[in-house]
Amino acid sequence: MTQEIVKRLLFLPVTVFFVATLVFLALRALPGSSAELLGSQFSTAGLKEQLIADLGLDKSIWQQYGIFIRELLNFDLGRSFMTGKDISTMVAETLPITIELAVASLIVMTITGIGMGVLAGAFPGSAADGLLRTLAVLLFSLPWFWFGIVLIIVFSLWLGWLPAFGRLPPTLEYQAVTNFVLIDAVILGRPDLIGPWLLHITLPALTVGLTTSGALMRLVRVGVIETGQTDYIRTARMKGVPAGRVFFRHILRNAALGILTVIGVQFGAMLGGSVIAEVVFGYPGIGRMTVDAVLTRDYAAAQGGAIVIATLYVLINLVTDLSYRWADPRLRRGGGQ
Amino acid sequence: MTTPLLQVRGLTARLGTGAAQVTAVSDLGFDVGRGEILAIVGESGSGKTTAAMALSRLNEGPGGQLSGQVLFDGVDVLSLNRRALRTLRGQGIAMVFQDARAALNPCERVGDQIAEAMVVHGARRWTQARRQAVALLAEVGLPEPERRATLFPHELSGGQMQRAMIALGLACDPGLLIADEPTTALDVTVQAQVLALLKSVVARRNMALILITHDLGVVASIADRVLVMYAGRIVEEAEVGRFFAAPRHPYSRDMIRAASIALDASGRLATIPGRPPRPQDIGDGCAYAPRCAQRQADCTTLRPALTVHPTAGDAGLPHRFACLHPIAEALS
Repeated sequence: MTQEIVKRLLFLPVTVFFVATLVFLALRALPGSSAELLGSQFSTAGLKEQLIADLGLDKSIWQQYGIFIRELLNFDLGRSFMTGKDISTMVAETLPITIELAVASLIVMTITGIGMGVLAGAFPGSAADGLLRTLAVLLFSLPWFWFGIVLIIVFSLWLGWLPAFGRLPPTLEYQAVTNFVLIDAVILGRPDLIGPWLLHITLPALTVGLTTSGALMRLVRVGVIETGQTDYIRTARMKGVPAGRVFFRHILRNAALGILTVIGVQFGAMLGGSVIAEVVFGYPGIGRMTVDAVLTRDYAAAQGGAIVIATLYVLINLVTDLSYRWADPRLRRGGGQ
Repeated sequence: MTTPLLQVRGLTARLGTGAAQVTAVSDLGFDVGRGEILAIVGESGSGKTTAAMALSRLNEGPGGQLSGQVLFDGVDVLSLNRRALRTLRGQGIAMVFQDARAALNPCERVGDQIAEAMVVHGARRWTQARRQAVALLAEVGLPEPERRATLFPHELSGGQMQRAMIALGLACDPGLLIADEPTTALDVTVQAQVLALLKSVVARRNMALILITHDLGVVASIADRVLVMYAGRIVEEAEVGRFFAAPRHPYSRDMIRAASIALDASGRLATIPGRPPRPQDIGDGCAYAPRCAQRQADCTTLRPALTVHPTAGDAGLPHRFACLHPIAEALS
């Protein structure tokens, strides 16, 4: 197991290197550069050339690549072309916001997906099963942005219950320490932060969580039904185990192994994929930072955002695999004879 | 004469739903007493496993309908409510399944799986039940039972898993143990050990054992009585010695010949031509007629009834068979 962790961690830099190279090349393949965008705002003729030289864009693409990789090896993500801020600072500000949103979405997805899946799987072929399956198809066919906008119209515009934009009210005084609201609320002794934060995170978390719960529901349902048909469940019935205990202790426990992996992979996808929710809800996470950076050809910020998201994705998948090994005794002790 | 522990009368099992429904077991009737080992033999698809599962209504549900009568210790099993049925399972009738690797929960320790059977019947608390599980593992001949009880199924060998499965079946001291092909997944030397174990357990605990198998070698080595099934029906039932010496149904004889290493007249291994009929293809006549060398004109139109035939010298053990033209002479 330790060997496996080491192996996977050694592969991490390789993955990051490939992602970095890909993002670097993709950005350069896009027409326009930040020098042009910035330069067009000023009329001075020499300014554009000055900017190009400052940003290092006058060098050949291979020289630029060399500098980028050398800085990356020193864990230096560079500075934003647009704001001049360190990318690492920008990541430290935006990443916690995305993690908060991903965790909240994951909670919504897990509760609704597992709840619906278990209910449908316990009574396959019933009316409830048919209804839940239809609902699941509906949920995972909905585009995130559309569902998000519908939620905004219903809960913000019509009912006025929930805020539609941002992460905290702009009027709220908040000097971030870790930028995780729950942690900062404890450190700073500011319980008043939690209420508004929860109100703001609800709609984006519902958007991401509910649309992903459809797929999870189907997996849980199939897992529960298939586990119920195994020989060892028949053994449990033959032992005289009551039906409820068979379902919760035997079927659910064994079906949970497969579900765990799906949830882990989904969590990784949410970190990178909540971009749409962040844009729709004006949520200042790392996804939105990266999208903005691409749009303004802020090469350094876009590269930094992509690298951080990719690294996290790999790490989460590693943790998922490890938790799977820990949960399944067949893998825990090396497996087989 | 005392009433046998298990009395089965007219047991019929229909599997599947709607148009796809087939009668997998028809009009099954037999008795098993304490201390007795009854072997039910037949080819794959003859209905022997369906019949075994029907005894504790394990295959009952939307896809399985049972009718007839199963009397266990005087109790009508088919009319029990759910709670009483649950009590019967494990405590009255226990079952050892074919593939122990698949039949044991991969995520539970072996000892806990055995202990759970005692705990759910309220017989013991967990700590006590775990200790008892270790004792059972010792009884079925597993070395180092304390350590093995804490292992997961995949950490045991095939033979050890089957022993653990038997220990699980014995957990609540059932009156009847049904072993469905308990040795099929094992290699030959381990097979012999498991059979010897089953035989000794039955004698020691004075329980009844129904052994489902297609292996006549297994039958010969431990059974007291043989019941042959073909296409969902009993075709012959006899005391084991008589069965091998003088089978009356052509199917029994053909099966014994096919199982022996002896070559036929042309110097080839004996086989039974054709394959068993699917339940939906059985006509009015004898189900074995299409494959039977003894077939006569009436075999395809008349279904022979299972009748009892008096036999000399077998101390009251009946010899039953369902054949219009039974074999007269003993096997050479």
